[in-house]
Amino acid sequence: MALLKTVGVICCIWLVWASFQLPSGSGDVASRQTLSVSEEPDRIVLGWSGPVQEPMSERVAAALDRYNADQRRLVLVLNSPGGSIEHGRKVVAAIRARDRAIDTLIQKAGVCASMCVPIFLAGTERVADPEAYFMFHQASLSSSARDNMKRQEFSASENALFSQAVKAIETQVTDDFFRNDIGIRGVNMVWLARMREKIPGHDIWMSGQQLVDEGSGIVDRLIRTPAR
Amino acid sequence: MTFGKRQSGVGAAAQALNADMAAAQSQVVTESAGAPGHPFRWLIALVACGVMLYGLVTSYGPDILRDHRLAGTWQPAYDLRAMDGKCERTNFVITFCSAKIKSVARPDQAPIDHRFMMLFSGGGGEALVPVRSTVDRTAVSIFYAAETKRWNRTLSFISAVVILALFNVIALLCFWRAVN
Repeated sequence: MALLKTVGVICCIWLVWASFQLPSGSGDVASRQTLSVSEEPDRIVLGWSGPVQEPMSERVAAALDRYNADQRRLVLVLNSPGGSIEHGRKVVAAIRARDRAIDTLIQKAGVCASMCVPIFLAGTERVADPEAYFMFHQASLSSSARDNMKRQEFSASENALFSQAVKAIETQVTDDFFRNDIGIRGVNMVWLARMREKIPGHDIWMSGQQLVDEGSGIVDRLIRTPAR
Repeated sequence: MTFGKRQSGVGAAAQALNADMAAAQSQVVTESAGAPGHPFRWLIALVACGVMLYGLVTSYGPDILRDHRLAGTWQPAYDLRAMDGKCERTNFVITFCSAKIKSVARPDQAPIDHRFMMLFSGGGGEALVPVRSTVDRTAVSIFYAAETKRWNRTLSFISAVVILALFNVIALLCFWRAVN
């Protein structure tokens, strides 16, 4: 009986200890999408944090619909590493389809990278903190598309051809992206062309202040958002 | 008299085991109870425990308090990257983790050192995702520490503080007795 008790106690201790060793899954937080809504007396703030991918357009559209009749200003606060170009275009379409002014805002230390930039540009007034960060880079095939391609068995010469083709597609998509998605209302085309030349092989990070100083036309107005 | 403390331990054990020897041992016990060691030893122990307690509280306390204050407000900080993350586990019980959080948007900025302590968990294989609070934009942490292990860290911290405080009290009492 005493032996049974000892074994039971040891098993309990081991189970408790083992429960601490299970993976927490906290790594998923980087790809987690959250949409917060905060109603203020003079404005409604929709806060989006997460990648540009399904179901962002549906969630943003639903939130915009909910407040469509509200007279207060609508502000979409973005914090995103970018994502799918195709899905980002759906988000832009969802914002533009609303027959009302929707401002976009990047807070202090907030990030608007890659495909997030065209969404930011869809705002009626594009506002950013001087210490908000924007990132521009070349479009690339998604990792799943690359993996699918790699599964095919190719010879070395076919692989080289394949790499060239991928590069050509990415360059073409980037040109198209810069021309049609970023090169819109108010954006300085000379600045944009310079940026296009800089990005092959690089991620170019710029603060809200730098974008305004360079006369990019990306940010309409700088405001200091509260640090705390 | 210099080894009185050891005599005290032996005497007490013998007393419990053999009642006949109680009278013979009592003198030794009385003598050693009055002299637990040189006061200087206890002073060193007191100062060492005090320094450890101070180090523990100042190293881990403010971060834990801040993480409780900002609980639920963390969102991924895509401009930051965690580097050189490592966890060292001692006797499968206590784990000390550290990581550097570096800004990719401003590479000229010095990395922020982030340290935390937890019980039982090893931390192996966990993704280190830098996060920033939506309430306090200057507050930066690792999601695993700030949210997933917040209560573990809190309990680990409280346990360590209680143990060290207990050692401090014991050292203080022994010092007091040795002085008098």
